[in-house]
Amino acid sequence: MMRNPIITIISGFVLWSLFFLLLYAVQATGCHFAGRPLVALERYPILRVILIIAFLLSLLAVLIPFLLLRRRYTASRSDNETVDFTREVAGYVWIAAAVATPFCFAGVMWLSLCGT
Amino acid sequence: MKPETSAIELHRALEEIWGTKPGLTRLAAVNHNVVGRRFMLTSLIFFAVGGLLAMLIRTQLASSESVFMDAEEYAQVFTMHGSIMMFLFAIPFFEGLAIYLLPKLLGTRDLAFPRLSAYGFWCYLFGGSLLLAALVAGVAPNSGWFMYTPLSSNTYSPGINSDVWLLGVTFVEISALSAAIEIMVTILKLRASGMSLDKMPIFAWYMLVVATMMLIGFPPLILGSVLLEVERAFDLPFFDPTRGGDPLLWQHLFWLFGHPEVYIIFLPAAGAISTILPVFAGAPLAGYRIIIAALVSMAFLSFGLWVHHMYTVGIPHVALSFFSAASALVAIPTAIQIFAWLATISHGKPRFSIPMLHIFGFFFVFVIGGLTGVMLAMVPFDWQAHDTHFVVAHLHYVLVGGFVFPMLAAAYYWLPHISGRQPVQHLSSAAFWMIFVGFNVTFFMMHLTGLRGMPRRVFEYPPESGWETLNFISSAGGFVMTMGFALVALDFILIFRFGRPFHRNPWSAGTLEWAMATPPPSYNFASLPTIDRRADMLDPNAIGPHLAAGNGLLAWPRGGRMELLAIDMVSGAPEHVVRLPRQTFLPLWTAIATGCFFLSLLFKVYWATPVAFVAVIALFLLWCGDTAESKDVGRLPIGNGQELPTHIEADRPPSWWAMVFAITADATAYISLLFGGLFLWISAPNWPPQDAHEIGLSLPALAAVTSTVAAVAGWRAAASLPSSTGLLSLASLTHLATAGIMLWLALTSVPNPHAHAAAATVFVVLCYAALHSLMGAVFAGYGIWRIRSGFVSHARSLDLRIGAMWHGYSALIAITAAGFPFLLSALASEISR
Repeated sequence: MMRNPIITIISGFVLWSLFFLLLYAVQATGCHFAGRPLVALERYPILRVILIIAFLLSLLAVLIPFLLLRRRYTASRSDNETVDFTREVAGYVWIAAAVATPFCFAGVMWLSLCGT
Repeated sequence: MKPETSAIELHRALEEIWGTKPGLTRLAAVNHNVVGRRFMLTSLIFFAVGGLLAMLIRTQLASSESVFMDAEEYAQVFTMHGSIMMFLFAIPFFEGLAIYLLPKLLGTRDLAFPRLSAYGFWCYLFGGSLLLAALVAGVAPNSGWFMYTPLSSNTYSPGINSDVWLLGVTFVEISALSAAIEIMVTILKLRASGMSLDKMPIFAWYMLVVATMMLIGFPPLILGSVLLEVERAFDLPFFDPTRGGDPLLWQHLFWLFGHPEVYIIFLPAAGAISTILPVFAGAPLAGYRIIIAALVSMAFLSFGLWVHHMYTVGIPHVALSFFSAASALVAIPTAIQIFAWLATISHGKPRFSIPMLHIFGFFFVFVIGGLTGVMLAMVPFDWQAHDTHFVVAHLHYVLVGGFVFPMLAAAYYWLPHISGRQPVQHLSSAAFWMIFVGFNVTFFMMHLTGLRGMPRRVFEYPPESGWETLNFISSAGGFVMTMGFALVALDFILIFRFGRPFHRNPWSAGTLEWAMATPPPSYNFASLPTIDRRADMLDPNAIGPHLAAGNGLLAWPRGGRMELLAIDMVSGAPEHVVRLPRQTFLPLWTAIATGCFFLSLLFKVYWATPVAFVAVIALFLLWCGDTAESKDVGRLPIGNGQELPTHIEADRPPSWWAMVFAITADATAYISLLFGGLFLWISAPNWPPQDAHEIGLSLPALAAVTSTVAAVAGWRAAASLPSSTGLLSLASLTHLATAGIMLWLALTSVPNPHAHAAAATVFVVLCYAALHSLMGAVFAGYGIWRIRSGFVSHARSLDLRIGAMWHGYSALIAITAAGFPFLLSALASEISR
């Protein structure tokens, strides 16, 4: 459990936000570097590989702390209501972030990367 | 200390200190009861104006080829309708409600920075009046409430119409940012003793999330407005594609604010429902914890879907998928709240009073709006319905359903608190049904006209379009709805005039705002409560008399000071005593000076702009006159045998946190600026620029060094008392040197900023850093003045610690600004390869 409960509660979605920006920026920058002829031909395997790696990293970054938090939560119950509250709320938020991550970013596996 | 003081004597003594004096001194009011009511009343007046404009729109569209208004008048009317409803009604109304309610729900006497909320109100009033004056003068904004470039640029809007929007709305948004900081600090630090995070009233959780969203959401809009105004006034081409700019940059900056804005408007209303509904359901709010989790999730998700307003601008499919998925996903936390409310109703025995009627109106309308929202979140559907009346119908179902109905419920629920009188409810039901029926008749038809292809913002349509009958029905519904609102207004007047008086807590609620006399005294609680359970499950009927008799904390006035209790933000344990400044005209004068600043820009009297800016800074410095302690105070008794230090001698008092949040907002604007530059590099046509940057390495490196020295000197000064003056002088000089170097670079080394957006961006980044370093010099000078005046000691080092934060932050700004031209230059030259 982190020292500040508010940080504990928001950290799952902070990670999600950072990866959202990262993936969007990598996609836009990659398409920019690919240039117009490549956009037309849809040939940019390196960009897709990079995006998939970033996507997998995002999954790990959100899932591993969530599982650790969950294990710690089940291992030790607290009598302190505020701690209990923080763990429960943070747990829900982490679940939401863990669901949002593949739901929002999985498109990098098959969708057109630069085509509009 | 007079613990034996009677309740009436205590009331008189507290009212003398906290109360607003009559006559002209009302203009010096800073009390949250007064400021909150002023916010709400003013926003309702703006709502009435916005409603009248809506009637003009519906009159125009009631028949085909109408000659009621011409295209230019219609453009001004629909632009002002949207702008007023979003910026001058919705946000300020809930700000006012929060300002009025939060201290009461949290068990304290006022907000953390009462003068700041008064200043925010005057900025809101003056900024809003500027927009209305433009409407009367026939030069109102006319480019739509989201001011898309290039329509709002000089080429297509050469008059001052767009300037009025950009400067007026920015002026108004000062109040939103000040309210955000005020609300966050108050909720985190000024709750009742014992009110830990898990015991906070649910409305406070909602407002904490909303205020945080405002803190992050508004700076991109303010930045975008500044850049567009700079383009219009000084021809720096950020949005001009012929010179390396991009109109899409405006859309990104606007919607980065604009979509979270929808949730910023909805969530306070949802907070009101979560507070009101359990009272009428007769059961505690179901799913308190999962609702909080849903709120936090919504806040983040709402920042990840701004592009769903831009599906048709040509964004790659994969990027669209990020935003489409987030747009669909945000429905889940919204649904969690709705199911929690339904569960609450099902657990109790609901009473169908007027507030509940409006809540049912909310359920019906908002769920329809939410469903069409999910439809529009899907890219293929949005491509078909984009910019049609279907979108107009959707947004009104969301905003009227998600804000107006809950706020009407809130108004009927808390009106007895404000007026001291209970509704008689003869007109209330009729008013509700007229609004409900009128609203659905008006806006349901727009789904149909939209699906039949009617675009939004057209001032006329041909008779053969097949839209006329639906539009006529829609207009008729609009007039029924307006009559409903007129009935509500009449109902409110009747309640104030003829409502039934009551003793206490007319709805049998369990929250602290009912544990006081109504209308509330200026100080709320004669003594402050200690909370041992969740703050919506209390017994105000027992707590009220107990506190009124002075049996709580801080029960006795001390030296005519306005005192509050600050707590540990997690556990709710008392931490220190906050001593607030007294009533003052300074917020009014400062807002007038701020208004002069904006007016000088609007009327292009640029010589007056720096004069007004200096006046604003000087007036803000005057605010510090009565916040200081000339000697160490030590620990003060607060009652029940407890003693605490004052906030001046505390480690992290409210003002420390306010600086943290202010820097967060500022950093959001700065990061948006840097990313804006990078976006232009990636996206804009006509790159790279013809003139490469020719900035040498030495001066930026020197600026990085001087700003670092300023930061270190500022930090050391706070730890080196009493001999800090020398260090602060060093900080001041190095800040001035940094500012000088940055300005020199901007004016002499950057290629012509009128020629290309790259140079314009570098120019603005350097000026941004210079301004922050100048402010750093002001902070350092202020620290020296405080030390020499005897207001600083080892125990009272707060001023220097707050200043130290700014010194460190401005150094970060300067260092990144020094490196930015090289980064942009390297990226631009990569393209030319």
